[in-house]
Amino acid sequence: MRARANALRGAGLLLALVAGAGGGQAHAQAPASALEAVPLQGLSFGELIPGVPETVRVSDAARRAEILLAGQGSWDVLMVLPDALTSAAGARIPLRFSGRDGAVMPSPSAPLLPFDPLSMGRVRISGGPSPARLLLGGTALPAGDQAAGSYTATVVVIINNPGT
Amino acid sequence: MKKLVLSLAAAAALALPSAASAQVTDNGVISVSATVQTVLRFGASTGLDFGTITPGTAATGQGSIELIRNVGTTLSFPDATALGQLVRTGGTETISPTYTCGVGATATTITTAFTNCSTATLSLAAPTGQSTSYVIFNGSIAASATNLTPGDYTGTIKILATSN
Repeated sequence: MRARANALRGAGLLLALVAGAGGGQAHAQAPASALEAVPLQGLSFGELIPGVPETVRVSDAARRAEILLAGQGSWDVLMVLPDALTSAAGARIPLRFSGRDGAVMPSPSAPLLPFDPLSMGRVRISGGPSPARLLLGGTALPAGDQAAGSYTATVVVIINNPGT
Repeated sequence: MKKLVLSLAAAAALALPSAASAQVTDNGVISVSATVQTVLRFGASTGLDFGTITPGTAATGQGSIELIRNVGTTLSFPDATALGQLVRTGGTETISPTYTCGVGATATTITTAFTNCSTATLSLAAPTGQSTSYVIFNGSIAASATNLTPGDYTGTIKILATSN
């Protein structure tokens, strides 16, 4: 089900990119605003014990994922979430994300604003001196007979200015 | 699925007015990582018991110990020269049984044997997940070696498991 959802999101990404490049007049206009997404740190579950689920909360500054949003304006943000971590040998650890696993940190001192990573959401960035950050936690579900080793995955964050 | 996505993209491009406002997109990729801990330990053991030996009669016995692991493992014997040698309690008389040894999926049948039970090592490939196997020793005492001083004879078999 998640794979299907991700596939549909992938379709959404392509739509956005084509929309951006498809308008002949668009290239002649200055962008409404600019936003740069800069990954700061990955989502790290650390050492997992076989059979023991591990959750990284979005408030866990050391292990959550953080992506810097440098710019200003309103932006549509979509996260393409992986179904599982995989090892080089092809072993998988399922991942689970909930609507509470995302957040936006407008500035380092501001409280976290909820962001549902399971669906596209609009984020308004004021463009203050401290760039906003998009945060992500999640849960890894290693099996009781999970093979030892390193597992990785990637989250793609797509940011699109819907225009005015 | 690919065909569907392309069709959707084309439809979106056509639907956009040529003077649409500028669309700006950016993508970021966040890594997700975990390391599954190595599991390598011995579990319950069944002692190798030759029972009550009748002088002049051969004796046999079988012992095993659980090996629980999720990594490739090398087995060896740290005290090869004294492995499984029995010494009479309160005395100095010894019995030196001959052994065959190896690893099996059950506690009774060797499927992968050591070439010898003193200086040899045995490398076991990493299982697909956590698994339990057994290190098994079959001992035998020749009839000619059982004409001994009465008493209890005991010894130990030490096995070293190292991840590889």
